[in-house]
Amino acid sequence: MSTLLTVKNLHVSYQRAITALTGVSLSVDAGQIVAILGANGAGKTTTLRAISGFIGLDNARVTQGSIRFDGTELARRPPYQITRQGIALVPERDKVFPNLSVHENLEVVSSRSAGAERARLQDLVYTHFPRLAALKKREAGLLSGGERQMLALGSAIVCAPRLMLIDELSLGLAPVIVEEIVEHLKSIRTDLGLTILLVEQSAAVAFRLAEHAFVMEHGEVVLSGSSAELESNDAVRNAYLGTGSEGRRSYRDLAMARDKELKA
Amino acid sequence: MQLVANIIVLSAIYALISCGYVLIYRVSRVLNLAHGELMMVGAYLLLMTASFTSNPMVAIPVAAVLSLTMGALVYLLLMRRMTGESVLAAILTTIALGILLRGLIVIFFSAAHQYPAVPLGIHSSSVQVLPGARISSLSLILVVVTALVYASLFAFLRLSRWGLRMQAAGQNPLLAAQRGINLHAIYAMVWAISMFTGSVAGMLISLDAGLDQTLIMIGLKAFPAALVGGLDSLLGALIGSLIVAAAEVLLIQYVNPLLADVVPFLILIVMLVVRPWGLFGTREALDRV
Repeated sequence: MSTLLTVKNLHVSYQRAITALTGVSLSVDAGQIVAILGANGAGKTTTLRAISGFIGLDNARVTQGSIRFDGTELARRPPYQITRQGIALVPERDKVFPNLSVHENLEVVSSRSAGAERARLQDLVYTHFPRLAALKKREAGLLSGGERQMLALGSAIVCAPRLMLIDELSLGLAPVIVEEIVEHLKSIRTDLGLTILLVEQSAAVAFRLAEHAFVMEHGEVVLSGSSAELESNDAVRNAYLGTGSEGRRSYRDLAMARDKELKA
Repeated sequence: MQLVANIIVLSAIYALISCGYVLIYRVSRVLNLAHGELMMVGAYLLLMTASFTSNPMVAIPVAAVLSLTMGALVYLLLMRRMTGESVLAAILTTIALGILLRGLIVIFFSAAHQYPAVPLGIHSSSVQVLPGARISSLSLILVVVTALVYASLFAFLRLSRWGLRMQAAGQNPLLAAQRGINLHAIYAMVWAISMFTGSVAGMLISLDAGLDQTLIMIGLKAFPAALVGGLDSLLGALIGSLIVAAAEVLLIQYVNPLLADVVPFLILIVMLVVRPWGLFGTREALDRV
């Protein structure tokens, strides 16, 4: 399997004062689903925003390192060019245009796809998310959280991405909706041969979707491996699933155990 | 009836100008206080093309294309550099641009009152539009052009992909960029369209009444119309123009003609006190001014 995305020794600082990433390195093979796990403030979202070119808009910048996508250096490219290169981001919040209808949200996308290909991708979105097909004319601002997530994923799909970046797929959604979205995402990935890099606080969701995962702490990758390996790792189970060999623990216990065990 | 006709003509003038304020604000959240000057530049572009050809079918389209180009250049060469800066910096830049344009126009075209209609051989005749109401033929053209411009803008924004992208950029520029939309291209396009509509108004007014720096005042008076309607609403600009024009015409007729230049700004102040986001605008939009 060829490597599609390579991030090497990535350093990012906000307002030239706060260091958010301190040498993140990771790679994603074509066709893989890869998850990034970590607590709040670990640098997961900053990593995604650096890849998609948006940290410049957050008053942050890449101070060191490289991001290569299919052999092309991405650092310092404007976001719209990165999207047209084949990387689509599904952001954590503000993910749809609220005053546009569902269909208009899919129409505004400017991507590598045009004409028949764009229509095919829109049809694919409606096929996989029939709920959106039924709500084509509804303003996106009136959709439920789950429907918004589906629309955000659909808009990213119409971008004809080769790599989809998803920031917090399950955040704020009912488990039954997450279940539905995960199933659709899996089949869309098969249909399009998509590569997915997913940031997720819910390790259970991440391990269900991803084949490989990276664990981030304090702006760097501290663990990586296949989902199966990480899921059976006691430190990860304790820290992110709350079901290590010592049984369920309180959040405070988990945080302490995470620090201790990940460092060990 | 004559009063009604006068109100319709004046509201068409304000509407044609105020849609430029609204378009730029709605898409890029910048209040373009140089819009009056840019409108005047459009009229002077017609004066310039009229000096090369006496055929209005050539001079007017060429001036319109030049104004489209100039609108895009104002964004690409100047306002683009304001991206990421505070809204106040962008507004101050437009004020400075306006002052600069006024000076340049005096240098290049002089401050004298000039008539672009003369070299183009255009003569405005009087037309009866309502029983007992007559307006000039150029005023009638202006009303028709305003209706066409608004119909085109509504259709463009609602039905075309680029129009939807403009709306998307106005709602959430960050997400728009994430969806592959080139924001600079969108902003350049909206500045071009805004200058085009303003210039068309400037050209038609100058063909009817001649041209000098007082044209800016009409541009400024269209700003209250935009704000009364709501700065991010095209429909609001239409209704706001009608309200401001009606108040102006009626007060001139029944109170004092000297109120002509005062009334729009009086309405503006009242509106800012009572409902600062305008009739059809959104509170959120005003927060960003």
